[in-house]
Amino acid sequence: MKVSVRYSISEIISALLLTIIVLSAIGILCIFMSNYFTERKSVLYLIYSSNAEKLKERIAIVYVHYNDTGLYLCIYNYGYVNAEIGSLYINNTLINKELITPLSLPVNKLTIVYVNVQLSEGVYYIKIISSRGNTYATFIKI
Amino acid sequence: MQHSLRYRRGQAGIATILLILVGTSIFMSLVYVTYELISYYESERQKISQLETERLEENIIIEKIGQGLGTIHLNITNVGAVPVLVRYAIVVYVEGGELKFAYDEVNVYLNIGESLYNVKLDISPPTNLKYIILVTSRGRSFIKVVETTSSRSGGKI
Repeated sequence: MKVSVRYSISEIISALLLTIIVLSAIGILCIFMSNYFTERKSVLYLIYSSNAEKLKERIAIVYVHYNDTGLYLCIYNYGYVNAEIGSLYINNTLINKELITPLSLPVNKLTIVYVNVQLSEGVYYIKIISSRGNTYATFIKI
Repeated sequence: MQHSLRYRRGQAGIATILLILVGTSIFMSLVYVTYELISYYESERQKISQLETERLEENIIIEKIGQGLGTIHLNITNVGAVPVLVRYAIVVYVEGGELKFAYDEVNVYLNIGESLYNVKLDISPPTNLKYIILVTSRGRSFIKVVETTSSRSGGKI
């Protein structure tokens, strides 16, 4: 009779211990996985959203004008996001950003970008790289 | 003793089921997050693809340029396969031997095959008009050359 009672108590204790161990293991695992997924989700979202934004950025250089005061680029943003000029090249020469005004290209607007440069006669290749990494190019004959 | 063994097996079974449930929920959430992001990206890609296709199908003709009091009038016809919203007009002209340009917001909508007469541009008619460029909402530009240029200024090729 005594032996039977001892077995019963140890069974209850072992069951309790097992439950506690399993629950705490699951709890630790859940916390760890939750943190892991939150981090991964935000990283994944960042990658996908930045790619989507790059895709949604669309600009067209509709007209390029040059006169003695400088170079004028008529740029129309027909995309879904505002764009910004990251860098501008004329015949593969990087133009200082301070010479370009404005740099921002709002959605559905025609922006006249003024570049304070002096060019001699010839054909020039103008390349714009946006801050999201898209490239737009055109030629101008002076 | 037999009861005790069955009881322990039951406990181990519950623990295994719990672990499987946790594993499955983690896997499902990972699949859901990936699916959500991919479907968002795909929908955006399709939207852009449609925009680019429609852009290529745009075609408008500037048929006539007239001059009014402080304004320029245009007759425009949409000969493309999609409706067109003309957003801006750029007028290029020569003044004092130098090539200059001016632009105006137009915002004129043309259905397929539709012609609009006397579309007004709030730009004073220059004496030496060179060309007029119309810019659509999809970023296409259509040019009407009035006279070829020969000054030491440049325009897009």
